[in-house]
Amino acid sequence: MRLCLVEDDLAIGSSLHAGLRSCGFTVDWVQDGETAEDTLRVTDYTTVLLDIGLPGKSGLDVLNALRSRGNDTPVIILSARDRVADRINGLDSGADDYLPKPFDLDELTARIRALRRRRGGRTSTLMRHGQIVFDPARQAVSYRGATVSLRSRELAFLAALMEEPGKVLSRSQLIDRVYGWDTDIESNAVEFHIHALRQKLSAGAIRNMRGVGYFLADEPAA
Amino acid sequence: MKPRVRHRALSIRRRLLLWQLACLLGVSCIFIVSTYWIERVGIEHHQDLRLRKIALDIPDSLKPDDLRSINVKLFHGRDDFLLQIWQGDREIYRSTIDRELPRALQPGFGLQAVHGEVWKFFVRQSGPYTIQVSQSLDERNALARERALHLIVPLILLIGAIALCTPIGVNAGLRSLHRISSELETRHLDRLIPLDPHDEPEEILPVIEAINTLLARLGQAAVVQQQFLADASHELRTPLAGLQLQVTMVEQAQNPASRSEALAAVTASVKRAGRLVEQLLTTSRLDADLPVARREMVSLNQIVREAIMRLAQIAEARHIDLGLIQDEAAWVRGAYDELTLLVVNLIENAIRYTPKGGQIDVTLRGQGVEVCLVIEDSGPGIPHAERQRAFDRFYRGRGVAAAGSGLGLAIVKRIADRHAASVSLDDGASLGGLRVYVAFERHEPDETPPCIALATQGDASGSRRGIVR
Repeated sequence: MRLCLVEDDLAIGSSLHAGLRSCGFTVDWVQDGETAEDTLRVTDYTTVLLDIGLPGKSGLDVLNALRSRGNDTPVIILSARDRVADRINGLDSGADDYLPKPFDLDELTARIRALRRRRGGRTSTLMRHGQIVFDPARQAVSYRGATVSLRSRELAFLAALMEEPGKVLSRSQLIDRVYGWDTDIESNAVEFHIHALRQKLSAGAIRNMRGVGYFLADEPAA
Repeated sequence: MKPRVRHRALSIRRRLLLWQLACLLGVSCIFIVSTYWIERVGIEHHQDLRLRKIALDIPDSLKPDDLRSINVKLFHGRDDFLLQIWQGDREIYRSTIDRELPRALQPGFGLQAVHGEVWKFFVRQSGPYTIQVSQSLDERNALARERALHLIVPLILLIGAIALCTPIGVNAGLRSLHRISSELETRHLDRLIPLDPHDEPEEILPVIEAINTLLARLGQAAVVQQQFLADASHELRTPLAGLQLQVTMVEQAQNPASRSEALAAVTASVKRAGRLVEQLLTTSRLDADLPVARREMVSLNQIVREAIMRLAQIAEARHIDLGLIQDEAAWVRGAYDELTLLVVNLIENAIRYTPKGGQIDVTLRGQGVEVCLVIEDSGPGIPHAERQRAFDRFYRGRGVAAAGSGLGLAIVKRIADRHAASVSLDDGASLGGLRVYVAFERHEPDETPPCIALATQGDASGSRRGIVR
């Protein structure tokens, strides 16, 4: 899952950046409102983590601009302003959640997952597609009832594919969702990790549409 | 110390009553006395006419036998007149037995005193008879007195009525005050609705206006206070949020290297939070609208030198060339600690916003009646549109790696205000960054204690050189 973190405070930003990455998220970190707006204009994110008090443009301005473009990416406001009026204002401006600072990293990741769940119309905390069961909270996968041990990149690829089951994701879309900005990507990285996933699940679990991209096979559930 | 007994001021009701009664009593006395005198003049005239009339009413063809009937006709019971008739030298008639006056020599009106009593008389010569009608002045005075004293009863009634009615009137007037006070009791800091001046007596209107002005000011202060609280809690929570996340990172650290890196981040955040708390306390201390505690003659030269020495290491670490390029004698009147805080904050701010390898120039100049402190840096400066906001609490410049508390310039401004100094921001002419210009009122170090004077090595002009060196 690729997150956009908009936070001007260095201590919070760098810790969140590192902490979220260690939880399996792909994180792009921007530090001011204008950059955030430019970034959100060109990149699709699973979730945006937005601070309100930003230099230049405020977080609410960024949020308003985002929503007025019809972009419905889930947004969680992270703010040290915790008055009820602030929260109401944030939520009414189009935020999906409001987490007052200071907060616990685990709570934040839980809220990100919950938001994804609601967006996907799921009630279960587990993501299922065919024989694949993915537990985002524990970053664990089982296939045909058996636990499969996946490396973090493989998990990220699988998660990206499971976000919208059945939808074909192009190679560059996959790279976008799995790798943020600041990672050197090998030219055959996608093929490499998809190959590994097929080996650990089954050869037919991930299908390739030639010249277009990859999608999850529509296997009947167990 | 002996406790001072405070007497409560007289109530408006009582005060008004006392004044009214005093005035009424005074006026009543004047009234009675003047009535007496006016009556006395009127009675004089009137009684003189009566004296004459009595004398003239006695017919010239008087026979001694008629005298008894004359007596009845003239006096019908009143004995305040004394009628005496002489035939030749023999008194043939006197209206009363117990009083007697000698015969006057001249006809007409006259006065004579007998046994300490003054009498007014009228004498007429009628044939062989000398008719003399007299009246005692005491009698006349008593009459005037009686008439004047008749006024006492209505006056007492009037005073009584006023004493009764005054409290009622005053109570009606004071009802407005009661209403205002009960209305004010319903006001809270977040509900400072102005009082309604509708239907209030005009004497109360200025009070209502003043209260409304005060309410408005209070409301503004409350808004500012709430804003500050919100800002301050925001500012305090931010480093706490960072700390909480950093501590999580320490817990999650896989190896000693990343653990010590995470711990270093925690330490930095704790320092930052500590500094923020320090600055917040400083602003709130300066906030109290108190005048500068002890104004003394202070050498800005010394303060600037000490501040630069204190911050030299930080500047050095960032490879910033920090220097005092002009050092004219600069004496101002103020609080040493606060002025030090002002200078340190300004230089610290410059260091924070100046990139590595930059330059900061500090200048002290005496210009006529002013002493100018100028701090110029080679940093990014502050955009023109944001310069006014730069003095607001929690304003932060953009694109700064090590963000400060956002309180530095606010503290500087506050201290400058307390010292009647002006602070302005503009573009630095030589270094291209921000130029902060603080202008103080210049003072002469004549009455300065020698210890401060000696510490200065300023480029003092003329006659002061000897003292300074």
